[in-house]
Amino acid sequence: MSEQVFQLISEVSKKSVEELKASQNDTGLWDSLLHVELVFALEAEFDIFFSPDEIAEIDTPAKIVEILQLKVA
Amino acid sequence: MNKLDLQAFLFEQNPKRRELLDFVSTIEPSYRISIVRNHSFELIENTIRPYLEYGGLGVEFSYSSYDDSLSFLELDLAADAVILWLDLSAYEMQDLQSFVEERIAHLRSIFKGSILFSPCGGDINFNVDSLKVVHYDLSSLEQRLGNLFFDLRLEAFSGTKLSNNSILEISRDLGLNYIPALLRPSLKGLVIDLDNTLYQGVLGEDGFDGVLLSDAHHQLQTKLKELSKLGFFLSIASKNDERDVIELFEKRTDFPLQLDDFVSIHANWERKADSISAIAKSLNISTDSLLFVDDNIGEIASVCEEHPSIGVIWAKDDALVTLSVLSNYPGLLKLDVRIEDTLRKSDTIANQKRREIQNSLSHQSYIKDLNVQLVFDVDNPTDIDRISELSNKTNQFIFSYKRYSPQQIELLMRDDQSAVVTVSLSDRLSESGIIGVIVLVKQSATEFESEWGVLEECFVSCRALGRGIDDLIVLGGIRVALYSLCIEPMLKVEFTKGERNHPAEKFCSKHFDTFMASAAGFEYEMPLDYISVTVK
Repeated sequence: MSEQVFQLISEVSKKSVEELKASQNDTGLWDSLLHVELVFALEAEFDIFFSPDEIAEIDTPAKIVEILQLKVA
Repeated sequence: MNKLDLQAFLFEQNPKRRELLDFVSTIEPSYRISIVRNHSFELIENTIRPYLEYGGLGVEFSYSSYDDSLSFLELDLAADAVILWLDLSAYEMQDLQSFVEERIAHLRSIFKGSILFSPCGGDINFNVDSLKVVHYDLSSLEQRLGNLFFDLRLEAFSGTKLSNNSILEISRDLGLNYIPALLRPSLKGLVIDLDNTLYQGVLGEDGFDGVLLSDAHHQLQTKLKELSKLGFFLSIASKNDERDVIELFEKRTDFPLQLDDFVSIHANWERKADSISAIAKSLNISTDSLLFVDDNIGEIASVCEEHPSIGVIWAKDDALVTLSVLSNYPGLLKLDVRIEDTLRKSDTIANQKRREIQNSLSHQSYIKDLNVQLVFDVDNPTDIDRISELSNKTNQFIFSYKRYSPQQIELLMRDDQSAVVTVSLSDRLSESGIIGVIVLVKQSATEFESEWGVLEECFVSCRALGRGIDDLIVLGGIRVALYSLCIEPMLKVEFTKGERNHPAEKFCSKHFDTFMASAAGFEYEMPLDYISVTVK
């Protein structure tokens, strides 16, 4: 799943997978509008629904992977 | 992606948000829209590109800050249009309706282009029709989507309460329908194939009683009939025997479309590109004002090769797809249908009769026989909207492409240094309404020198041209304008060559060669012995 998530973030953010992996714990990799686009893309791809708290929480690639693993499992 | 691939992408593949986001536009922005807002529009912009591209539009959006006070201080006055994008739930004031209406009136007074007002998050019946703005009402979408209209989880990040579903639907509707209608004149006519387009089957093989009108084809024909009633010219271009086609429409009384819905029928074995040329010529319009609907990809390719700017719809076996494209085709939404639009069709049919009479009589006898009546009207405020509409629609007989807004016309009418003359036309065959406009501005070199009139703009509807009275419409209008400004008959003419105003250019070189560089004496006697003229 991790690879699929990085690939999707890469497509939406137009950043390379390598770059995202290298800074997977960094915040500030995307702005608020891109954050919304990521939420839309993740919800459509994995057929899930984020709660408001989760939306606020997924501010790094690593946290997205972590929360998705919990939700999809 | 070519236009037919784009049609399939937008209307058959049900594109996902990410696919819309990834779309790479090939059209450079040539229009600017200023977004004045108190909530986010950016998520709509993110997905609107393919829809705008389908209509041949490249648009650059510029944004105000989130401004509940609607100060309009950051308004881009040079923009082609303004979208006022308002979340009413952000306000807690008592008289919100009056506040918003007052601010729109102010916006209308400072911005002369098209304005689209779109409120959400409140149930107020705004009275904005008199302010000449387009009211883009989201309440029907809200009703349809119910709880899915808003998505409050994302508001802190997105800057809007609107859900992804709402954003996608608005993006599609604005991109295909409203923004093209705000920025460009509408299309004027549709050229439609018959076999496997308007019904299922082949007329020449199945016969008039063998072709099948499915429910979807019935809906498609009903939509085309509605467009005809709105003033769009419907024509047929079909590879069939004309007698068979006439028999088809006479005998298939279950067809919503009947013979009198069409202004011309070209059923023959010639190339469809040639039929389209003939249709455009008979309607006196350019082929880029036409939309061609056909199920045969080869015919479409051949027509597009000859007429690269024509609109095309690739009709599908499933007529509901064709209907969906037709219902959202850029250039078919009229934001303000006027009486002149509905007059246009009867005028065109009358033009065909006029040509028959013209061939049998001398010029003067022909005009006399038609009982032509012209009315010149000076600075009449009731004509403002029609003048603005005609100035934005006319592409061929137009001198300077001024494209006046109603507010600009109003100012010109109020100013005693300028005159706006409308020319209305009727004859025994039809009532054409306002078909031409002359805008003349008074000028002088110094306070003490004699004054002259500058023809700032002149435009005449194609419907009125070629009846042998072009000179009277333009030169008569100028004479009336000079007279109304109480100046000596001295005239200077302004002309700007554009891509399509060749008829105006030809007229200018015939009549105005000596009036281009500087003012010269102007004389014109109206032929009152065989035409009835009224000056108001």
